[in-house]
Amino acid sequence: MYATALIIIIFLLDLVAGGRLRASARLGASDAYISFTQISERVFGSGLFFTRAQLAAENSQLRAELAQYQADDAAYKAANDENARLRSLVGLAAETPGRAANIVSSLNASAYGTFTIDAGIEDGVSRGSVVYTPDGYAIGIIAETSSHSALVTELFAPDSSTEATTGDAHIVLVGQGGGNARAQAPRDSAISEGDVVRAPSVDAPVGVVGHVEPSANGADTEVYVRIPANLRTLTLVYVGRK
Amino acid sequence: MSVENSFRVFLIAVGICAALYGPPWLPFVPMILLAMRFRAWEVMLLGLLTDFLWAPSLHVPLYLISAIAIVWAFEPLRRELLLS
Repeated sequence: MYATALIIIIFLLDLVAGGRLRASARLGASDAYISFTQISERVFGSGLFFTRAQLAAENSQLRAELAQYQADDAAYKAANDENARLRSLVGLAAETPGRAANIVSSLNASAYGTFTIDAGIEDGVSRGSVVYTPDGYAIGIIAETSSHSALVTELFAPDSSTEATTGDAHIVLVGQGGGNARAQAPRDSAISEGDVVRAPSVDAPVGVVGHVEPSANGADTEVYVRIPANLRTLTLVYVGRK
Repeated sequence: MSVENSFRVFLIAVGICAALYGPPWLPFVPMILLAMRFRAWEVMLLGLLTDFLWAPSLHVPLYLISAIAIVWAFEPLRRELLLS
């Protein structure tokens, strides 16, 4: 009973303090996440936990890849990719004032469709700012800020709804998590796969139409929307200034 | 440290890792196991931690509410089944 009361008091204290306790928790968690990511990359990258069968499979796979990579300079490719990513950020920065930030939390651990970035109030990030992928697609809104970190709520968080337009139709996107959303549009709408979906609330594209099919009762069209970037591999985002 | 206490600490550690890195349902596994085996106030701490990490301030604290429910719901069951 006392423990329950204590926990509730801590929760209420955090509310009264404007979320300072949870900001501290997130800061510690971000450090732990970064350390864990670096350690796991080193440990699993070293091949320490490979079984003989895995090593044999990897060996044959690597032999096949070697022929391809001899013709393709990996270093050049990596530098080229980095260059393209930075170029897209520069292009985005020219259109929208803001700053780049790293994602410092897991992107699939939150039941609330949230993640943490390493930029906060002192870096010019404020509540309500829009968060973009390097390609310029809006993926979230800043929900909370602390001095050097911020919590981002994904636009396509589970059960969230976002008004959007695509083709000639106004639709309401219902988030499914993982950068996916679905909506219903009138059956005669001119929507096709690959169409860009824009949300007036953030004045930016929020995804592309991945699939269109008639609904079960035939009265509407089911529209499946996804963010073009792979959220799981996303490490860098751009935060627009509000 | 006794085996029981070690198991308890292990479950707490699993819960913290699950809150940080796992899918949203994973923290519930150590929370339920802890609540079934021990009179564990840590379950509520895990719920609070998970909400602190991921929930915006004004959002309903689903994990904390669930944790309190788990602790109090499992108390009579735990006593009945003599798990501790």
